Amino acid sequence: MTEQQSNLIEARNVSMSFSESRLALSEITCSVKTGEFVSLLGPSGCGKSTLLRLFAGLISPTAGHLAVAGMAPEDARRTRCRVAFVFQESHLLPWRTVAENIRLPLELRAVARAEHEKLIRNSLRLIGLNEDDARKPPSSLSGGMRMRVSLARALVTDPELLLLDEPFAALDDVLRQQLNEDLVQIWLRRHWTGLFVTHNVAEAVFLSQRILVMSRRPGRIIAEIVIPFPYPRSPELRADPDFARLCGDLSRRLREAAQ
Amino acid sequence: MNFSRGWLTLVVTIAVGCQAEQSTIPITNSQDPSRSDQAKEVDVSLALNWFPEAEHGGYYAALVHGYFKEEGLNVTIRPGGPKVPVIPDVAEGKVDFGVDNADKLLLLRAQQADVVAVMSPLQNSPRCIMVHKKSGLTKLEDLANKKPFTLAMNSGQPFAQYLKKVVNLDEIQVVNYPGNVAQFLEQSDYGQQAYSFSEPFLAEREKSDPLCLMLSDIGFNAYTSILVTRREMVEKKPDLVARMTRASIKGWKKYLAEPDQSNKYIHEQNPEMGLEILAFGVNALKPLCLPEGFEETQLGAMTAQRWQTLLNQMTEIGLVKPGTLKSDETFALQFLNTATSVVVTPK
Amino acid sequence: MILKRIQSWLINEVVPPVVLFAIVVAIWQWCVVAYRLKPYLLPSPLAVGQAIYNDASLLGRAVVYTGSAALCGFFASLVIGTLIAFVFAQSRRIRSSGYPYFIFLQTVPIVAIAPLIVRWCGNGFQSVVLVAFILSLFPILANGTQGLLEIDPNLLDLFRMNNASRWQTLIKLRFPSAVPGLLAGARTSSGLAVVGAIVGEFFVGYGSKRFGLGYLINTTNDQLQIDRLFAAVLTSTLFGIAIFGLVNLISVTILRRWYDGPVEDQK
Repeated sequence: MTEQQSNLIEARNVSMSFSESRLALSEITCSVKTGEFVSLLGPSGCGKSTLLRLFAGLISPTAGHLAVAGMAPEDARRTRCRVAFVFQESHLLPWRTVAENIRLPLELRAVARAEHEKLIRNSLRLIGLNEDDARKPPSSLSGGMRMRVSLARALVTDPELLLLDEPFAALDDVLRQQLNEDLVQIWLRRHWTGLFVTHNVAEAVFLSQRILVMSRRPGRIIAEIVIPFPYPRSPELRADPDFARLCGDLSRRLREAAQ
Repeated sequence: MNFSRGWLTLVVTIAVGCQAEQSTIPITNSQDPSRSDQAKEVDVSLALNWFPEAEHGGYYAALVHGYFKEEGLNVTIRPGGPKVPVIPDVAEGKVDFGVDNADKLLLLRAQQADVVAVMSPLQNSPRCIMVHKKSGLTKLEDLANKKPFTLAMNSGQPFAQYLKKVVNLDEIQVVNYPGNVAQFLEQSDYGQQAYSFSEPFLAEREKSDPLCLMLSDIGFNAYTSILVTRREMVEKKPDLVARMTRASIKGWKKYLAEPDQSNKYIHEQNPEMGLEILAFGVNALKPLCLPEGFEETQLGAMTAQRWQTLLNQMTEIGLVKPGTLKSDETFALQFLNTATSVVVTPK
Repeated sequence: MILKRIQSWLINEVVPPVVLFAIVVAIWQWCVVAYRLKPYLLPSPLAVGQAIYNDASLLGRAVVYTGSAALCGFFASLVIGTLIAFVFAQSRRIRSSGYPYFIFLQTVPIVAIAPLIVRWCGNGFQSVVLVAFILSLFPILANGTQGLLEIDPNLLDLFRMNNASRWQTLIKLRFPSAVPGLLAGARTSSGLAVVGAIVGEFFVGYGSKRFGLGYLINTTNDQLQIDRLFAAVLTSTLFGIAIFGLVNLISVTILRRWYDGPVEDQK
């Protein structure tokens, strides 16, 4: 093993089609190193969510080579690597309280019951929720709170790979920015490998080390941008002229990609 | 659009046309060719209380042999069935005459249906409990000591309530009447409600050993297949009622003497009723219509005393509130006298 | 707080139907008087009320017998229906082989099945329960199966991401998801179980001294005591409504975990 970080995720010429005429992804080649935070940025319908689900092992590619931790994504998820997925909507189980929702992955993975309380409390604290919130049913929470719970649920198993599918798309700007800042903080603390799908340019730039830009359907990777700003990234970064220029560049690329 | 309006017109026209076509086809006397002198003929409807059966034989005989026509009556017989409201329909004027049983009449009179009985072809009720000969039972009272035993009857019926009152049925199992003889054939300690001219035939045909324990033997003897009409008819059109009564009595006399033609007709009206069972039925009816000591000339007669007895019994078992009915209002005997002179001589 | 809720429930749920009932009774009484309707056609509300008063203990006992049979049939269909729904949710092949029989069971008229039941299972409580069970099974089975199958695919993905076994998914996801559907089916089934018990009693007897509402309806009809018939039918209807209300109340209480705040807001 070299001292250079190894690739946790590798894709070579991956293509995906759902039927004869619907080609969703075309010849995707990319990689993500262990501990990296990478965003997939592209117009709506470009297949970025599909690519994420391929990495999660939820679907299989119709062509090409795909590996997570050196093996098929589903196998890796089962045996090698703790993977967590954060969906576009919080998808909390309505019949469970917040704490019980966060507990769910621990139950499914047969984590010792004695450990549950501690892990849940840590997760709550990590995501900024308090003990009182833990006892509430999901229906009594706001959209933003529910997304925090969804994140806490994903983080409770201390994942090595975190896949996020436009989790903040339904939230208002202020909340989205707040959650972006929180997410970066958590990543800096836990240093999982993060793959973040979004169509929001500013969000991608704020969060990531690297951005993979995708074209519209059938999705291809048309650009790879390294984000030069150092961590930790503060809210003031958004006012930085370089930040604005980078965002403008990317926006232009996206517009071209959408042609 | 023109297209849809055309369809609508077509559909409406067909619907209206169908309404105009729709009318029940009357069962009239198809045998009488001479329909020229029909000016004074009166249309009359007669509702039966069950599907056409031997117990309606006399009325069909009057139709088939033209007795109704002779009296100037164009009679339409309306077959009945389960739960058909004969007496209410007569009370409402939906039909002119009806055939039903005396206990039913009393129940409905208690509900203020003003219908009266004018003639009863059967003197003794065919209502019985059918048991197996090998059960050793010889009379209904024996049921009190028979164990184990299953008795299938509709407990709500007046005869059943009376039976329960007179005979102690606590030791035996009373179940609902299943509507067929299947269980009777299978089980030997089993009895069911029956009509003496009907179910025993079915049991015998299946090589069983039926024995009828008559309800009339313990005193419950409601007039059966009686001819009823509403009081208004009796008061305002006595001549019509007399003619109807006369023709019906003549029909019953004919039926008991020569039933074949009538039975053929009944079979046509009710194919489920085989000719064999109808023939059996007539034989079973004869002793009921004309029991020992009863002259043929008296066929159809009713007595006030019998009606009072029935009313007492029904009051006793709680089906009629005491004091609500006067038995002599339930019948009208004046039409019977006009029929006594009629004698039917067999060929 | 509780008092206020009861008050609001009374005003919104109880008073309107009672007022409507009173209006209907008034119109009924008027019709009987105005058209001089005879009792054998339509008894007056007063006569029916009198009959209820006279028959009160009889009707009360009948409600106990019929109600017991209905509740037993209902619970049987709840348990067995849920179990069969579980089995059906396992594979499409099982569903397509089994479903037609249950649809058949639903469409064959009970008046044809009931005499057969009497022949095979005899007279008595068990046969009435069986009729009630057969009549009330289908809604629970259908709604339960549907509830077990109709899961948000994202939730299924969530479970997959956590490497959940089939059994875990069934117990922790599918079954709780199916509960609202099962409860909806239970609401329908409870009413059908009452109807089933009454219809069953038309064909099945309990024994010489015990009789349910079905028996009373049948015999008062045979005896042409229409006022008592109405009394029995009215009692049956009210009983059915009470059962439905009870199941509804239980269902709402259970579902409170799914919903926020008072249930009225969810309508």
